[in-house]
Amino acid sequence: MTRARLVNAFAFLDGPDPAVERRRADGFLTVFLIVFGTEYVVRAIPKWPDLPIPYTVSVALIMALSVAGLRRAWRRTAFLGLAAVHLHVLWLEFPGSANHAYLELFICLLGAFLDVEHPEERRHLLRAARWLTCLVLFYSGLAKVVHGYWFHGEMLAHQLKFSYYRPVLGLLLPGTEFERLVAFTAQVGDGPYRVENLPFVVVSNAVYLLEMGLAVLLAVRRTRPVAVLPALALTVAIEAGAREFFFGLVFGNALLLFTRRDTNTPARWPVAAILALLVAIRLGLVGRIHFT
Amino acid sequence: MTARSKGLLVVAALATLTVWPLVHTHLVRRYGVNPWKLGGWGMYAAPAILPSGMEIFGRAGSGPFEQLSAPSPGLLAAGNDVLARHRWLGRLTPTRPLADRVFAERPAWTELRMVVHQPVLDRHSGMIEASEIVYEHRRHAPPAGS
Repeated sequence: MTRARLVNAFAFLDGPDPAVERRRADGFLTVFLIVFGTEYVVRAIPKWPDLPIPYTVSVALIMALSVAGLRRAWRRTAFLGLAAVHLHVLWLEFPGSANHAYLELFICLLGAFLDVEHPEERRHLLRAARWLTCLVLFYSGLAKVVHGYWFHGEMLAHQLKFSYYRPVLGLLLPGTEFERLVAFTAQVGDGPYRVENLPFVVVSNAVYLLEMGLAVLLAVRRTRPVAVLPALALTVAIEAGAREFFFGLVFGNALLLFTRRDTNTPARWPVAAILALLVAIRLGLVGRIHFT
Repeated sequence: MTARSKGLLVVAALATLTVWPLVHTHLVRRYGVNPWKLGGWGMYAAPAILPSGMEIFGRAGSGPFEQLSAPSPGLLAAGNDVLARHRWLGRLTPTRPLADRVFAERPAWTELRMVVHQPVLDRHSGMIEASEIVYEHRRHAPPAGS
């Protein structure tokens, strides 16, 4: 009895309609595979002639395994291979590996360990992916509260040292304040980074409040439908500012798991179009935009 | 392995992942681990300011400390590696291997002081201030009978 309860500890995260869960799980893993495979390629493009051999081999393997994983019969084996290669890259880059790389590793492990064709295993996979999404959102907000750099806009003000934040954050600041903050280069003696401008401070505080609040609303079945769109909008806004498009796509795909209908499967085509655009940008074929 | 056993493993993994960010917060506050890294989901919680450098001082016996000058290329590379790791791991960075290399290059020194210069954004003043993290090492005693 206790075991049965324990194994269903995350049952509150089940979707409202079990009939769509199979397609949804399939769509979720498919979108993840195309994002993950493309991410490795796009990251490698600028370093291509000088990319160290272990990374070159990793990129080739990740590409091949991501394509192989699109075929259902090979999916779990492909995910096992992806997890192994990705773990190796994490090890090479440790401790500098990005947090989203850990999220990707966990999704790879879920894809290898659980069979989405099996109803019970599929439930576990979807519950795990949904819980992880809530965790990332909630703890991202909580960390901002704990470290205290968002109450007076200090963190956002500091990020103005990166030019790609300026078009968005500049809209919230009067010209003189914007010029003052942009002049800092994060050297000893720079500051104060505290901002008095109300719209800037409101946005700064809204970020962590929304992150934590939406995570809770997503976890509760009754409030889930009203939280999905704001969570997606928040992710788009944050990632547009930070230009972390790959994390945005991985996380957006996970947020779609909370919608009433299967939205992961239809998301394949727009996601593929965005990825094609990112590849074209990296190859220098379309404009020049900084992103990671 | 049955679906139920797999489910239990997944629940155990999720429980671990749920607790880890709290442990991570403790590591950040106590050891200066960078909130951006190690899976604690603290990206953008604090500015990721690079350490501005490291100085190494040593002394023989109870003599005055003198600064390490003209390190060998190998020692310089090891120092840079420590500094790069320090950016993410803070005071959890292993510094003893570097100390052993310095002792090997400076046989007279018995005591070392490594000073990492780490600018921080002070939460109260909103200013970027200088801070120093100091690591002290003593030469290991030679094995008995040597």
